Amino acid sequence: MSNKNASIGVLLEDLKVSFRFAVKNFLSFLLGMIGVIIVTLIVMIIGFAIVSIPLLFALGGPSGFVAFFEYLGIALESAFTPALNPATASVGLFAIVLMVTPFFVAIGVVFGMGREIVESAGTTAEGVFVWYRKKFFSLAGGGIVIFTIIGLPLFLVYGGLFLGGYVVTGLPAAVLAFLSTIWILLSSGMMTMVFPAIIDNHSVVNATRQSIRLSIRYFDRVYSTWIAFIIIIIAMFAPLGVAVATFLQPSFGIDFIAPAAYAVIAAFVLLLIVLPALVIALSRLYMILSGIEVSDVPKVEPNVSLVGGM
Amino acid sequence: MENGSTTVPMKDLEVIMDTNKIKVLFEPTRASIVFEYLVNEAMTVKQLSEKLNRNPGTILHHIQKLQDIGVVVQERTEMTTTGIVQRYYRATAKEYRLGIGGMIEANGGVAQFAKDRLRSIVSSLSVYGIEIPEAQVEEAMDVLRRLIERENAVDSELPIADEKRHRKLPPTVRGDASRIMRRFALEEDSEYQRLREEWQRLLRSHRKVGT
Repeated sequence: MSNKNASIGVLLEDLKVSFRFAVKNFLSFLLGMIGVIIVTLIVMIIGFAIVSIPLLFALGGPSGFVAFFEYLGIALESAFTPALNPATASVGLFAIVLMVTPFFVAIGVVFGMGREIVESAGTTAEGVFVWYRKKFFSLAGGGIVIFTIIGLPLFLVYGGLFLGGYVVTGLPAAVLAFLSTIWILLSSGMMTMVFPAIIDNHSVVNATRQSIRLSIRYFDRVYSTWIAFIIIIIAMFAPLGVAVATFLQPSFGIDFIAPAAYAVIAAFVLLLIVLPALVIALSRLYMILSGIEVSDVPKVEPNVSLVGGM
Repeated sequence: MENGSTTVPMKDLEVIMDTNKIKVLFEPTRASIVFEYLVNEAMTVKQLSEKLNRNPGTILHHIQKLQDIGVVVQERTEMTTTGIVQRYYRATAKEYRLGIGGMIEANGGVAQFAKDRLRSIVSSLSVYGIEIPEAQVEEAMDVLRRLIERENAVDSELPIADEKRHRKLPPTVRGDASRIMRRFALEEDSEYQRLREEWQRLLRSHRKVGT
C-alpha cells in the first residue's frame, strides 16, 4: 500500500510518531519558541520604531504624535460603524495585518523546526533563527494568504450583515454559525500545507497551490490528521467547560483551584507538546504526500572505472 | 511537478557557465555536498549532516540553495521504521566542471580564484620538466583557458541517441561509456585539435632537455 493512503492505522501511527518526536524534542521546541518570541518582539519594536520615529518628526514632536493617534483612533472607530469609511477601514485592516505579520513568521519558523525533526529526528533551538532569517518574507506572505483565505469570506458575510444593519437571530443565526464553522474547518484544512511547503522552498503562491492540491488529492489523509488534532485540543479543554459555572460564581475553594490548575497545565501541554506535535504531524504529512515514491531503489555499485580520464 | 523532482535526468557531465551558479557552488559545504557526495549516490539530509558534521538544518538550507540553481534534485522519499521521512537528493550530473570563462567573468574572489588556479597549473608543470618563463605565463594561461573551454563545450554537447536506454545504464558503465565517447568527440573536433596542437607546441618549446 502507498504511504499516501489514509486509514485508522495510518492516522494512529501519524499521531504516535508526532507526539513521540514532540516529547523527544521538547527542550529544543521550548528554547526555540522562547527565541522566536524574543525575536518577534524585537522585530515588532524595530518595525514600530521605523514607522514612528519619522512620524514623530513629521508631526512636530510628541504632542503632534499623540494628537495624530487620537485622531486615528476616532477615525478607525467611525470607520467600523454602519456609516463605513472604506479608505480608513482599509488602512485599519492593513495596519492589523502588519501588526500580526511577525506572528505569522513566528508560527512559520516552528514549521522549520518540524521539518528538521521529520527529516533527521532532531532539531536545535538555534535553527529557528536561520529559518527566521532565510524565510522571513515568504512566511509572512504565507501567513497573510492563510489569514485572507480563511477570514475574507467571513469578513465579507458578517461585515455585509453589520453594514446592512441586519441582526441575525434564531435559526438563521444557527445556520450561519454552522456554515461558518464548516468553512473555517474546510479552509484551514486546505491551508495546512502552506507553511510546510514554504519551508520546502516553494514561493508563497506555489505553496498555496501545493497546499490546496494536496488537500484535495489526499483529502482523507489531510483532514483526518487536521480534525484529529482539533478533537484532541477540544478534548483537552472540554473538562474546563464543566467548570465554567464555578467561574461564574467565584470562590477560592477547591472548586476554583482545581479547574484553574488544570487550565494552566493544559495550556502548557498544549503549547509545549500538542502544538509541536501538530507542527511535526503536518510537516511529516507534507513530506509524505509531496514525496516521490519509487518501487525500484537504484542499486549502488562500487564507483570503479575501467576507462581512464581524458 | 514536485519541487526539484527526479524527473530531471542525470547528465554525464555538466559544465557550469553561469556566474551566479558558480558563486553558489563556491561555498565549501555546498561544494562538498555536490562534488563529493551527491554525484556518486542519492543521500538524505541526515546522512549528509553526519558525513559533513554539520547541523541537519544547515544542510537542508544548502540543499535548497542547490535545488534553486538546478544542481540538486529530490530523487525519492522513504519512511524509516521510526517514522522519519527521508528525502533522497542527488546531483543532476555525474560530473561537474566550473566553466573557466564564467569564473573569470564573475566578480571578485571567483575570478581571482580562476586566474590563480590557471597560473598554479601552468607553474606546477615545472615538476614535470616544463619551465615556462614568467614573461610567457600569461600567454600559456590564455592557451590553456581556451583549450579547457573548448573541451568543456565539446564534452557538454555530446549527443545521446537513445535517452531512455541511457538513463537505465548502471552509473559505472555509463561513466566509462561517456568517457570513451567524449574522447572520441574531442578527437573529431577540429577546433579542439588546433588548440591542443598549440598547447602541445608551447609545452614542447619549454621542455627542459633530458626530461
